[in-house]
Amino acid sequence: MQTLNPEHLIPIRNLSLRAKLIVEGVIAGMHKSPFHGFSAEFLEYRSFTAGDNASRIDWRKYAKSDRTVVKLFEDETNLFANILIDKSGSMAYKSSGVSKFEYARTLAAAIAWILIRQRDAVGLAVFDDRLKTYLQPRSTNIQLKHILGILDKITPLEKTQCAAAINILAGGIKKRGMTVIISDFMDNPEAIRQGLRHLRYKRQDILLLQILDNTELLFKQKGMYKFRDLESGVAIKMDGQTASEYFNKGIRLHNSMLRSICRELQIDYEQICTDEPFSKALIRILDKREKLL
Amino acid sequence: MITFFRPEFLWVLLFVLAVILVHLIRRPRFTLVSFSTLMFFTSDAVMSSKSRRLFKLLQLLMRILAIITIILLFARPYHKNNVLSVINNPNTPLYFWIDNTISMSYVTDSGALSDIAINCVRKTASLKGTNTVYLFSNEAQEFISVDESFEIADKYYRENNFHYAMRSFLKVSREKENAVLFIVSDFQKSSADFIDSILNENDTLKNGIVFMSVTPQSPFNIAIRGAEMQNGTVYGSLSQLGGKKDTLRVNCVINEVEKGAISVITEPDSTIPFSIETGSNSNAFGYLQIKDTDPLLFDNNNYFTNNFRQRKNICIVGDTNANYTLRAAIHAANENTIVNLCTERDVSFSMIDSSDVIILNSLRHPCGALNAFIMSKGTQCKSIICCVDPLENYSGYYRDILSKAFNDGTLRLLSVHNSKANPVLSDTLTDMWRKFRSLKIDDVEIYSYVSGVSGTILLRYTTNDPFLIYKQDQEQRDWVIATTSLGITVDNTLFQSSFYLPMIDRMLLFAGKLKKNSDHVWTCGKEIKNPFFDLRKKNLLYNSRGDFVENLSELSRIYLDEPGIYKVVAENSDAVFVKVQYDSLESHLNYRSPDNLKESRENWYTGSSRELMHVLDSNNKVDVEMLLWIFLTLFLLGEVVFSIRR
Repeated sequence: MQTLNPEHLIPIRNLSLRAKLIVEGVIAGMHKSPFHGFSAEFLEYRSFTAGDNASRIDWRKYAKSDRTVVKLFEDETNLFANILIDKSGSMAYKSSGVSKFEYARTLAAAIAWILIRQRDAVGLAVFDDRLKTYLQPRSTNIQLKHILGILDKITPLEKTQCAAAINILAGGIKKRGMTVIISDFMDNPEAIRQGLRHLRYKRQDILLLQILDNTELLFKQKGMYKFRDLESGVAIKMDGQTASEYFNKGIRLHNSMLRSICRELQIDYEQICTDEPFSKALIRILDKREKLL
Repeated sequence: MITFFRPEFLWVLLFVLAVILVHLIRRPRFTLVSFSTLMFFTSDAVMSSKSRRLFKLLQLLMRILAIITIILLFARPYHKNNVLSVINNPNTPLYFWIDNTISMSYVTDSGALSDIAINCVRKTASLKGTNTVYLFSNEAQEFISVDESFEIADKYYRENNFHYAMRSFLKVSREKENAVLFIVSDFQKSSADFIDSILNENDTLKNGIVFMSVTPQSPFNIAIRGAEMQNGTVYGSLSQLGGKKDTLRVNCVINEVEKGAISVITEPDSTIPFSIETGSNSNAFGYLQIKDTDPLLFDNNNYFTNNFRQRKNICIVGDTNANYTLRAAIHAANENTIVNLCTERDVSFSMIDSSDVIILNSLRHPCGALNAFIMSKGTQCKSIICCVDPLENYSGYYRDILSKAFNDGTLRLLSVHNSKANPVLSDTLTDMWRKFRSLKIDDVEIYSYVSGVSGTILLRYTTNDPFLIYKQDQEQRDWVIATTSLGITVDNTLFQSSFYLPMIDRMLLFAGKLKKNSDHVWTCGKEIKNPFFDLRKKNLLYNSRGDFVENLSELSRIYLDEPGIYKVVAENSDAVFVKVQYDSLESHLNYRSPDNLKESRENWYTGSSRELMHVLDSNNKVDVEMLLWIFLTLFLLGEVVFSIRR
């Protein structure tokens, strides 16, 4: 399997292409068609593509139009998934290479791509201190275009308030399904716990993807720094050594609390570093969540 | 004021300061970093960071100070005004003067005081190197390098020569501002007083002076004093200073034969008189000797003679033809008196200076030597008989001399009386004329005399004007002023009268009594005024072993190194015996702390030889350096504490 590092992919401005490259690399490596499912309720035609089961070709349509298409049926979509992506200011942070937000939206696009490809309904919610954009889950190709379009446009701003956003999203969900939350979760763990509990109440299977910069995993600095908060703009002066001590200690505690919450609420949790290849991160996610496939 | 032995090391300090400056200029600035969250940077973290920065600054400060201290230690600072610091400078020349008086022969458990002093110099030379240590040579009368002067300095006891040492040091100090003078002495009162007076005269001296005392602890001495022989009995006294009650044996030696002995019971700090019957004739000479030994040996012998009478040396300045009668009268009164008759042009300063009494009579010319003598210092033991000539042509010379001697301009206006008068002896005057047979001398006629001189009147005229006046001049010399001429003159008939001889005798007695210059003991190791100087006859001096020493007629002053009975042999005369002894003051052991020296200055230091050797031996552990070492230790300790804390 060819691994493409984030810094190689990010220069590709087209998010759709980026997602396609990631997903196809992942799928090719898995040697297993992700496409399955069948339903009597016709939804739309789709061009036959390599890997489609030949038995699903609508020969009648082929006879009429000389095009090989397959029929898609409504009931084939067996999963309602919501992708919740954090666009708060803290996501804009990057020590080098790729920012957390860039990584997060590429990952979100890839996940959406996979889900759409296997006819699952995918929705998208963008939040910072509140829920900013929400796209209801659908399993159409157009939905993918919409999702990619939204992801392409958003820029990280404002403060993080995951809990509030999750609560609002949870309030709007009616069907059982899955929610993928992509964020750095730099918020009060207790508030996050409240939001996640709400989602769980709504029968959502939740996957937390915590995107962190490598410096946030192990902060190691020397010298004198003036740290400016990307969300609030507040700055404090501190030496690198003290900052390292306090940040590493703080982030370890924060992450362990997140894991504890996830264990408690039976939520899958993955911590992804921005220097990790997308494909690897995706495979880790897919391995963990076979349900996605 | 702090200065440095090795100031060249301070350049390193500049280099270090430059490095520190560069460090401060280029020290890490705050780098602005946009960070994802500050939620983990609590107020505790901010405080911790601040304290860490403070500690770093303190640590940097400690290191800088430690480096500066180390450099300063290499530069070897010292207090410029602290002589103890100065003497440790390897480049500081040290000049030692060792007290050369006989009291330095006092023997302690560590040896004679002079040996202790020389050992101090030796040790100093070994610590500092011989090229910066100098010792005053008594022979050369100047400071010379220790390796050359040790042998000369050894056991050389004479008159205190600190004034020569100071003169030599003053020359040195003009070239070497940092030179330090070490005064090594037992500081006997006489020495301390002398040193004190010399230092007071040179109070502009800026150089450091170290008073190195070698005063013995619990001094003890026994001495024989005042030996004299009368009718075959030798009298003397035995003095004991310190010690305990003891019985001492004293021998009397005459002509190198023991003629008698006595046991004397002495007590601490007492003087016991004694006498020894010898049975010898009255012209014998010899010495008393203590058989027991004590730390100071030179005073254990005391010499006696009984046929020496100090001759009085009289110099008559003026017209020799007029003064023959004066000399004859003096010789008639006392045959042992030496009279030099000189004109104003022949007389020399040394002739006047070596005389006990100077008579100015019938001056016909101005006299340079006389003027120089009048203006000279240190001649207070002299007596001057000035016979003022009333003649108009010559009285001016006397007026000049008197106005100079008494610094009194009115003496230029002496009035001359040409009326006839007689001298009158009054009972109310001094005992100079007591028991004189008549109160009025009719056979003496005074035709001319001067008046206007104030003072104590010894004799008057019938006109109530003074004839003889006693007065002391500004140099403490005694003057007997006669208001008319003596000798052959037309002013009076004194020289033709029977009053002349007794008057001259009494005038000389009066002048001689005023000063105790007839001491018949000569002091060895000191310059002695030679009473036999300039006599026409040869006077040869032989020591107690019979060795020829000097021809006394050729020397105005003499030095005699050894004590004993010396013999003066003159042509066609009986031999005269002179007893020569060390200065008795040297055996009193009356020490005076040099702390009492007046106007003690900041760069003067007083201490015992042991203390000063300790200072030299401690090799630069002086106050400023000790302080730096303490600081360095504190800085390094601080560094360790900070390192542990980090």
